[in-house]
Amino acid sequence: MPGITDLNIIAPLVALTAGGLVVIVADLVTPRRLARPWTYGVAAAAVLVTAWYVADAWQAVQAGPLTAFAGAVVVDKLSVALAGFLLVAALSVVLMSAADRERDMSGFLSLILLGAAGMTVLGAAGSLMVLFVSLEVFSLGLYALIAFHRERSEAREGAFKYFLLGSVASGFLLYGFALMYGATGTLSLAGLAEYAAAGAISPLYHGGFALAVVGFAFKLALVPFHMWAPDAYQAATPAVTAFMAVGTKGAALAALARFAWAAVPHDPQLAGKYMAPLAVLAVLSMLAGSLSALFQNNLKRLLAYSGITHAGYLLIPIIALQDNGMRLTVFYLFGYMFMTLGAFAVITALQFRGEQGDDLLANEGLWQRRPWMAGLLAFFFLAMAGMPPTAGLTGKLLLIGGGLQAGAGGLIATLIVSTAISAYAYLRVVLAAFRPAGAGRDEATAAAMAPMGGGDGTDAPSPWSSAWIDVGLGVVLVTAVAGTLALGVFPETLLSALEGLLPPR
Amino acid sequence: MEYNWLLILIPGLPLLGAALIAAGAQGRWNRSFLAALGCTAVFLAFVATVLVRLQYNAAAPFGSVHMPLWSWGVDGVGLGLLGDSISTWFALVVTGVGFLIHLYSAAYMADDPSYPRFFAKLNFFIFAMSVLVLADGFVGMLIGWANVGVASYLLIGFWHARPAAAAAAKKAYWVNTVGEIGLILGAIVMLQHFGSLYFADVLPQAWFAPQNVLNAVALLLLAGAVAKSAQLPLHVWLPDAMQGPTPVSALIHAATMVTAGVYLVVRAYPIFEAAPWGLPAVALVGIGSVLFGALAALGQNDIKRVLAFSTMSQVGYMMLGAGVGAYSAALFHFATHAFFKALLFLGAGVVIHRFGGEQDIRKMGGLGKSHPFAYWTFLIGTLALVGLPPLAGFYSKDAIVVGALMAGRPWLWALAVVGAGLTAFYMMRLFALVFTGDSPEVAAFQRGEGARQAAAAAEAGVGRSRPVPPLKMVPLVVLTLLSIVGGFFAMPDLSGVPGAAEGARLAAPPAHEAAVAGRVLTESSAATLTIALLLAVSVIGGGLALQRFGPKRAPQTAESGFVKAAGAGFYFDDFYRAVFVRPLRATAGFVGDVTEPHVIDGAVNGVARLAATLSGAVRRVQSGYVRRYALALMAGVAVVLIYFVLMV
Amino acid sequence: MPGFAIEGYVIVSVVLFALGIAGVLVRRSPLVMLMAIELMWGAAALLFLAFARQFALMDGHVFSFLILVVGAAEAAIGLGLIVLLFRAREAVDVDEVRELRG
Repeated sequence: MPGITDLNIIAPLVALTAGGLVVIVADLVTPRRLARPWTYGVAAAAVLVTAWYVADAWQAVQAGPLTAFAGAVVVDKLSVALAGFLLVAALSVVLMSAADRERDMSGFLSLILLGAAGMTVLGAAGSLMVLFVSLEVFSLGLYALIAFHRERSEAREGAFKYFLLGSVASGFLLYGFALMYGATGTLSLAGLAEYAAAGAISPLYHGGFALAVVGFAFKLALVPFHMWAPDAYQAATPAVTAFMAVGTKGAALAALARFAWAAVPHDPQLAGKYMAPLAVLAVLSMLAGSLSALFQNNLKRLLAYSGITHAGYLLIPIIALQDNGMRLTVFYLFGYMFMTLGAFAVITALQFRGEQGDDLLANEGLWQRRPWMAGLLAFFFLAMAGMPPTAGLTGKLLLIGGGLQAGAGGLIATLIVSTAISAYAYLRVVLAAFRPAGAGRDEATAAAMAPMGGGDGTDAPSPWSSAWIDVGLGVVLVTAVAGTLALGVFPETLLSALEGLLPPR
Repeated sequence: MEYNWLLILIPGLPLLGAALIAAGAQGRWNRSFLAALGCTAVFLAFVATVLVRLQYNAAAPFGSVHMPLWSWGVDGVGLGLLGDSISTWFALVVTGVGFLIHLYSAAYMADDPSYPRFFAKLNFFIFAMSVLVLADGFVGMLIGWANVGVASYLLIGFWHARPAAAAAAKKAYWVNTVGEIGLILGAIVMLQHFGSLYFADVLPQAWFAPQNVLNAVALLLLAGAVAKSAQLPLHVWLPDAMQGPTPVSALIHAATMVTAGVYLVVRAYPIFEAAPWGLPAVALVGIGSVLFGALAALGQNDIKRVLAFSTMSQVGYMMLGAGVGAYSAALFHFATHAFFKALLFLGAGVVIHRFGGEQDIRKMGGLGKSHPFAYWTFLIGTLALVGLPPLAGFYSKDAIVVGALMAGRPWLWALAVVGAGLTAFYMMRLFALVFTGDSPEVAAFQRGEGARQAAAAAEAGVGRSRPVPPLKMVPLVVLTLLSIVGGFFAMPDLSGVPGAAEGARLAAPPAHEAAVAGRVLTESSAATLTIALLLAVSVIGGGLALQRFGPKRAPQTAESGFVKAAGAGFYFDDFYRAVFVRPLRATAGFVGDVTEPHVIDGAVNGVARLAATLSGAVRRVQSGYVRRYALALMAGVAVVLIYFVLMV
Repeated sequence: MPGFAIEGYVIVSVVLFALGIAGVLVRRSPLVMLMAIELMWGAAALLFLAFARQFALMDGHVFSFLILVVGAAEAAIGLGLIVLLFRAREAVDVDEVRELRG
């Protein structure tokens, strides 16, 4: 029976979930005028309280992993690190969403918090049942978040496409789980690990694993299961897109790693065969992602393709099933989070100031109009391209070093080629922002763009004074810059903390 | 006294300068002040380099100045600055010539609306280049390498409104990306094999590494060097890069950046020497580029493209020097070449301004009478490049060619001598066409094309000599002096660089005194023979060019000029025409017109087009139809499932 | 449980799952596609039940209940999105929904 101890162990989750529910209640019981500050206060408070619990849990797991609810939830270094990761992302997204023009934001905030809770559980899942439910919890939240501005036709379209394909992929995941259950008679990852270590693997299990991998690959947007990503990323507001890019990737990678660590057979030859399809998907993602980004003019779409490429990079240590390799993935995940949050925060800030923000051509002349924004945009995109001394370079170097140790030469070579291609795509964005306005386009587009630039945020009605929103965005941007630089210059600190995320197989 | 921290100033000050200028340009600060800021930053960096060099000299022959900056999580991967014989030598030239060219640019670019932006980028280049040469390992070198590429891309495309400039920038970017991939792969192989990327760890071990590893590393590094140094067959971006402003061509695409490949080979010389294929490959690339560049320069009519191919050819000499083990000579030629080639480009800038932006040398002439200053500086630059004693180019080129003979490679030696003759010919052709004969206005008048045009030209002030502004004059004078006396500088040596001590211990000591004496003897006779031959071919080549294109040349139409020159010449001319000119013209024409655009250029454009095509293809798949997305998903599932059922 | 013949259930489940896939691929109405997806989920639930009966374990039963619950939530969100689409453009054909592409 679940007792007090179990609830203690998952205290961060309880706090986060409670926060998500209280936000809605707070909106109901406060007068309309005060609703917005209240809901934001509650959401931020929930994240901070959760952070306190997470810090506690981090101390607790240094001694060793804890399990709750008969092994259904595993609280170890990986799940706590992921929880911390998601909290930073969730808080940033909450701050970014303050720039949203929508009046009633309580549903939005609640979905962000509950989504973050779902993602946290996904990273901590010790049973297939928990895995499935948590995956659906945050996926359903994301469908709704994308469609949040329902008056925009592209929001409806993107949400619908993501929903339809996501449900199909969940169907495959479920069917895969069912087949694995049929082969092993257990739903817990520990039970699967015993079965995988024992040897005799039934064909049912092969098929089940294949379908389950497809489910994960969909959430990670690996080619060819990536088609939803560009459309959904473009459809959502920058804040939601950032949450989707960062949170989904982190949670799905942690869950996939935990799943693979348990479920891949221990026979080395068989393990190689099990991981080969993932390796192919990773290679396809790195190449197709960077090539698709090459001439992309919509920054959100470009970042979607960049996310696809990054998913390929981040998979490398998992594919190699490397002891202690997961720390490289999580390290680069943190770097990716700072860079991506920063880029989306810049887009949010630009849109808040009445610019189009996410269009490469509309950003021409940004350096003249808003030098700080142009500088920040350049910083984050160059960091993604791997410019020193940022996390973009350090993370890639670490992946390369780790991959070589594990003997994944082909994947590393692909990573390098893909980095070279996508560097050009990122450079295009930077150069556009530093080019004088109108240099690279014809009259017609220039005329079409003209009404966009030059607003100062006062023309559109905002429920809040813009000073508060600027402070929030400033906090996100400063954090992102500091994080990107700190991980680039002093990787040791985080890297040594991430030692031993998963036990050796 | 330890002044190791001075090292950080060398890249640091230009970087600070770039940032300040960029910020100041935003704040609409005074243009002249920003230009002065850029010049000052580079000047101070030069001073710091001199101080570091002095400290290195005090520590020499086996000491060096080292400053670790930080290290990443992986062992052996980190960044620091190292001042030793090679790196301070390069840094001196980079900051010194860089400063002179900054000064020149202050006058040359004065009318450009993006004047401050230009200085910001130029300062950024100095930063990147000094990181490249001062890094203490392959990591820092790669960082510098990538950043000089970015700086070069930005500066080639400086006039981005010109489609040709944008295309040239793109081409340079892609060619250099190919090279960078080679370099990175090389670094990875080294990291895997040696467990470190610091020079001090890798290079001493290189002497003892397995041959296949060494071969792989050497060829991968060479790929990077070839791309950056515009050597055969990746040279195609360099002539197009002349679309950038002339000071950029002088600094980046002649004096400094294109020699980064030479730096790489000399720096990693234990690898190239220990790898069986290493040095031969370098020498082959070098001699190929020497001849190809010289022949192609013959067929060019754009003053800057002639100089660009000449750069390719001269960097080829440096590569050749490195390839035959004459590292000191290669370093020496790098420095002297930086002096006289920068001088020539800056002189070309003066010439181009004089002719109102015209770059076709067939439409020039007679500048010697109206612009004695330009005449003399350009002449000295030309003679230094041709290699006339006692000018700088004579000593360094001679040292390389002698080195080829001493290394027991007579074929390379002979071809290098031929290259010297071609060099003399194309340079004197350039000089003669631009500075001798009649100015275009006078020529037009004599052809009877009407006094009106001539008068109009005179009215516009084109024909009148505007005095060269002092900001332009000072760098030209300094570079002229350097081109004259540069040959008397002490040659750099490699003692104390990482890997040198181990290499020296490996090399068999000379068996006895007699062997040493014999070596000295042959060395001196080889040197005498080489000097005599080099002088002879240079004088012949230069003389032929002067006769063909000099003051008494016929009016400018190609056919009649040719016929009249033949008519005025002696039987020698007929001989020369039949035996020398025709094949040469044919070869040069072939190299310039056929190989150039169609084969190699085509390949490079092909890569770019391939990337675009692939990109278009993968994006067309993203059709927007959700049912097609579902179909792709299902197909993926089917493939994965079938794999698991059948293969596992 | 002795004499429990699992084959029949597995076959039915596979057929249902295949019907679901086919439905997603060939139908153009978003509503029918949603129903096809529910069919896929149902097939998985059936498979869980069958195996749970075979092993005489409870966790498979629990999982199939969870699938039904989550499926209900899924349908709620999905229907909401479809209603949005309908309202905007009276679209009954998903092929008309393709503003986002490239």
